[in-house]
Amino acid sequence: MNRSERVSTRQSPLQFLAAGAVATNRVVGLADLSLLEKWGAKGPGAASWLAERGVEVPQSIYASRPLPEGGLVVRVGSDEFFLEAGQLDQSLASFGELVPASADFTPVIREDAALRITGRGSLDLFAQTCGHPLQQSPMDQIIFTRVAGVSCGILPQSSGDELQYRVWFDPSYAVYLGEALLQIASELDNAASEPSV
Amino acid sequence: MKIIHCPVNGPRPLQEFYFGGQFRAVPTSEQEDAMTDAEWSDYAFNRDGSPGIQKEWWYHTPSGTWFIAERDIVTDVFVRTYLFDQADQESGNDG
Repeated sequence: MNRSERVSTRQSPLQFLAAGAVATNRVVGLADLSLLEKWGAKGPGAASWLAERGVEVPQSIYASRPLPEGGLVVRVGSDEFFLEAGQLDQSLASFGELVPASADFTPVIREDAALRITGRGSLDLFAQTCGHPLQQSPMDQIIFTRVAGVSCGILPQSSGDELQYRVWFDPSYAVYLGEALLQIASELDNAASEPSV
Repeated sequence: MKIIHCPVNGPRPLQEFYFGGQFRAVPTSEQEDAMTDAEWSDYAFNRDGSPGIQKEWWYHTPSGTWFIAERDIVTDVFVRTYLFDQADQESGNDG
C-alpha cells in the first residue's frame, strides 16, 4: 500500500471536545489535535538519521523546530526525539518503515493525546491546574509538568500576537483531562461574560 | 508549596515527584556469592533510618527522570540533587 492509499482508522480520545472547542472569541479555546501523526526516535543514531531526511534537529534538550512540511520536532532527551506532523502532512506515517533493522536507534510509536490551548485565559486555566509558572517559560521549549495531576508535555508557542500552548499526554487520561479543562474553560468564559458589579 | 530541584527540569513542585527509596549500592556478583542468608535478609528488608543526610532515589514523573537527592531526613531539606552519573556536579537545592 503506498502512502496515498493509507486510510486512517484512528479515532481521537478527545473527539468529544469538537462540538464546543472551535468557537472563536472564547476566553480559552481547546482544540483537539490528537489525530495528527506522531512518531518518536530514540538512540545515538536518531539525530543523524533525521537530519538525512531534512529534519532540522534541535541542538539543545527540550528545544523544538518546525518540520519542513508543517508540524514540529522536539528533542525530549539527549538522543530522543518526538515528531508531530502538520495538519496536511502524512509523511511521518511511513517513517517507521524507513528505519533499517541495523539502525542504531529505536523507532517509537507515539499515540499521545494532543491539545492546543489558546485564548487570553490560557494562563488562568493553567494557574488552576498546573504548579509550574508557565508565564515565565520560554517559547518553543517543551516543559514536562503536570496538569490536573496528569503528566504532560507543554510547548508554549506564539502565533501572531497570541500565545498558544501545545499539550501532549497519555491518551488513557484524555477523557478525564479533556473534561476537566473544558469545565474550567467554560467557567472562565462564564465569568468573563458576567456583567461586573 | 514545597519545591524540589530536578537536575534536568529545574525547580518543580513536590507533587511532580515520586520517592524511590533510599539509595544503596547494589552488591557485586562476587559480594552476592559471599553473602550469608542473614546478610541477604538485612539487605532486602532493613533500611538505615538514622537522622541526618540520606541519599535517596527520586523520580520526576512528567519527564521520566530518575535522580539522586541528598535529603536531611530530620528537617526534610533537600541539600542537593544530581543525576546518578553526575555525582560530582552539584545541581541545586531547595534551601
